[in-house]
Amino acid sequence: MIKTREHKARVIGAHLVLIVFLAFVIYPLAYLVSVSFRTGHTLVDTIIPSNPTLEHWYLAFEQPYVGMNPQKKDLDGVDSVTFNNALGDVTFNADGRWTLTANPRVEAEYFPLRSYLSIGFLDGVGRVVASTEPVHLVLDQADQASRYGDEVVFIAADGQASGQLTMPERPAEATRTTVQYGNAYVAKPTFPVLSWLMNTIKVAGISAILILLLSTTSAYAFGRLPFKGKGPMLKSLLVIQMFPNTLFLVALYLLFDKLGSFVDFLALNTHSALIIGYMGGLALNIFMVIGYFDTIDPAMEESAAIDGATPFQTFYKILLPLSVPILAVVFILAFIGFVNEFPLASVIISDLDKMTLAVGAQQYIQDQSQLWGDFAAAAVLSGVPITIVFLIAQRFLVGGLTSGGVKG
Amino acid sequence: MANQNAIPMVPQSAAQGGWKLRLQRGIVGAISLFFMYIVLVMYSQGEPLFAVVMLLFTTAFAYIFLFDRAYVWRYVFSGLAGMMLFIVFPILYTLGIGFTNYSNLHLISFEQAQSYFLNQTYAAEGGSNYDLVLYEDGPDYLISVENEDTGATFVATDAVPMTHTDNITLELEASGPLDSTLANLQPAPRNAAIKLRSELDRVMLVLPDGTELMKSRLTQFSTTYPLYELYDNGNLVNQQDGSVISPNFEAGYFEDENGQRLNPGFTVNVGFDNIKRVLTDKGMFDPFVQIFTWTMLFSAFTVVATFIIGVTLASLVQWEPIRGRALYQLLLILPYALPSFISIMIFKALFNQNFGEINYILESLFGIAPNWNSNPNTTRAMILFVNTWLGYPYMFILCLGMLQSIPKDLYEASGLEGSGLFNNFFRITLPLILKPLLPLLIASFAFNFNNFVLIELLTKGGPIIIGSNPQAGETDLLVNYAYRLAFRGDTQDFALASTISTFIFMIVAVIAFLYLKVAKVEVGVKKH
Repeated sequence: MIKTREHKARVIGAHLVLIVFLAFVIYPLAYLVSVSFRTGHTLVDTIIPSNPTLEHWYLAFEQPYVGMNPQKKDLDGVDSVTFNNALGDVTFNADGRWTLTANPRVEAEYFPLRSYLSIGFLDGVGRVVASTEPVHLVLDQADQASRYGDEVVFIAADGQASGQLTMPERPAEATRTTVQYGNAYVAKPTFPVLSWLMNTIKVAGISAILILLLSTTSAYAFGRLPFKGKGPMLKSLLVIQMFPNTLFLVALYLLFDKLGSFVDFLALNTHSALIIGYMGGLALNIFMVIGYFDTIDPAMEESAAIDGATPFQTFYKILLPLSVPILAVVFILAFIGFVNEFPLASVIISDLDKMTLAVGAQQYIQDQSQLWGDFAAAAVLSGVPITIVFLIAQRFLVGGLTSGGVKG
Repeated sequence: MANQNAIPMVPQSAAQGGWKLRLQRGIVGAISLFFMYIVLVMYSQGEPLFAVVMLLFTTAFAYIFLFDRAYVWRYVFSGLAGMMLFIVFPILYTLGIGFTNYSNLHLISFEQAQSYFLNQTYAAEGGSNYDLVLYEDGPDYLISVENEDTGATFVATDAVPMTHTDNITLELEASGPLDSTLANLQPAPRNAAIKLRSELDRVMLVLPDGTELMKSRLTQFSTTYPLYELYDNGNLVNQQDGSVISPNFEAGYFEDENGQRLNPGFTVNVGFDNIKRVLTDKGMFDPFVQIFTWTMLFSAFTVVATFIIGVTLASLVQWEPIRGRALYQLLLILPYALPSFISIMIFKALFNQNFGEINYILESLFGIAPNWNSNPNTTRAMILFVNTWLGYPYMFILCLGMLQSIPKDLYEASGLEGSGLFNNFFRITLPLILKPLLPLLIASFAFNFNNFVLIELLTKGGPIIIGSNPQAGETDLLVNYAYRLAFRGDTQDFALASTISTFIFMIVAVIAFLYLKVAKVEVGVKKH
């Protein structure tokens, strides 16, 4: 084909369309990562966080995070101000002298605690127009003193410290003089994210294995073995798989409530009940496997049968090894489907510790408290492995999704 | 239908070793025994229906796994049982609930409601009051009461652990003021009567003369009598004032002579009342039609929009002169790879009214800040946008597979004829992929018709439709509307929710019928 100028323009145009479209695809993902590194739970910030912190990530890994909040106290017209910066009680005099008596507000296991002191000048609307170089404070057990250099002021857990800040001239545009300090705090993880991750892998993994087991055996019977009522049964399966379980959540809830009073492992609020409940979603997978079995020539199975193999042996030793690609597709799609499943899990599981990620992640965003930062870190932590598995498997999927049991 | 290529059916049991057969029988027998135990538990808990179903299940299991005649069924038994139990049964159950008045005002059966009234007691005129004193006896509690008027003290004959959940009766015996058993015991802390109030509610004390005492206040027992007595005609007669209450089996309530209803109500069959209500009650019918229309539009729009985007992207990525096609393909399916409970929440943040990026951009570019929460139309636009973002990769993957199977020489031939890009697309590509894709498009329509999670996580169905009663949401899909009726409303109307579900079943059945028509299910091995 001759490469005309028009052709070149078309290629560039196609690239442009794809790139613009990809921007729409990737921006929300970058945004999620950005929110997970922002200070606090704010949605208003640049895509590169202006004040990055690992706090949400510590919490997502169920670790406590020791941080500090910037605070200020007005110095105008007073001799001294006193405040507590969680390391201890601070007295700050208007001439810049300060003393700190250690009185840590948190347990020793969270040491060291950090803070700082500096003078800040504010204008009429509260913007900082100038501030002095901060003095960094650190509080730790007395025997840890050698770990800290000269650039910080060390305070033992029961000690005292004092110092002098030079008071600069107040700039003309400033209207307020303040002492600025860091208020140390300990953020403790509110939600068991790692347990949720484990629960999800456990429930989705076991369910997907069971689905694989049941759908291959069923597909073998439907695809290879003759028996009465097969056709009508297949048609009913096709109809059944169009009814998602969201349509009868009430009935499922009442059913498990009842079953739980007979058998413990089917009780509400257990993973086993959830896994058993997921077996209702079998039909679609059966069709995918039947569709693949249809593409395999039965000659080999026939010759095995003539040699005396039982139907199970032909299934297990001949058909299954030939069907590995579709087994991978069924497993991956089922696994991802169960990881994403929200309605049934939210109805059956009520304990915080037993939740799956899909249900647990919603706990961050309630009407009253919207912990976007913590949500974002937990979401990235849990979403990345699933996304990677999916992307690795996607070359199987392109073929697998279209080779369902239905042919036009 | 019969499969000519089928392989010999029944395994030759004789060929198997004898020990294998015995092992098989042993395992099947053990599992059957376990199932029979569950049957017994069900029967003993007063659930004969469950017991019968379980018995049938056990019989089928034992037959299929013991007799070679049913060999084929061993492969499908577990799968079919699972689908019967967790799809077919709940669907039938939901259909059934739709014909009752089951809601949190009518949660219990008639028998339970009747026994609730029969358990009511009242303190009779001229009866006496007894102050309660609790003593601790190790982990147990000893109940003692003192007559308010005479000061006579009575002590229960036995100390009890106060962990009962059913009603218990304790015998009392007279006791002197300096009884030796009481002198050795510690009076329980003051708050014990509060801590144990529900247990104390279920204690009946019997005085030596046979008078029965029930708790009348927090720390007081009184002579009490059952408030209602059951007459042969089913009416309950109030022993205190002689009034009569009778069960109304149409409304599911007990009523007094004036027709005043008494809680709790009980579950009764109401026939087609729920369906009638949905179709005639203005507060329900209008929202129902609106939600139905929106659900249809939502599903149709999603299918069309995701298909157009999917097929366009697939054609671009498929085009050979484009370099880096594998990378494009990988990045383009990202929205499909990311769990939807995460991506929906990202959009919830992006569309935040005051702090979201989207309003920030719109405000700085065009000076507008649409209301994504309270304006029905902008909220719907947001939902359509988000769902298109979530849904196009599926169509993209499908189209990619289809496009790969179109022979290249078709395009070469049309190229020689001087056919253009759009001509190629509409005359070759589209007709060739549309036919095999049709069943999948219908399946996608059905999926989006019931796309509960998107609406639940993004808007929870809000804003509320003005004038709807019970409440309905402007962006509710039918399935979300049913969920709202069952779990959100102040009445938790399970029956009405089931009625809506019944309508959805019918619509889905129609879609499934179309699907069957288009898909032409084929069973068995293809003849090559």
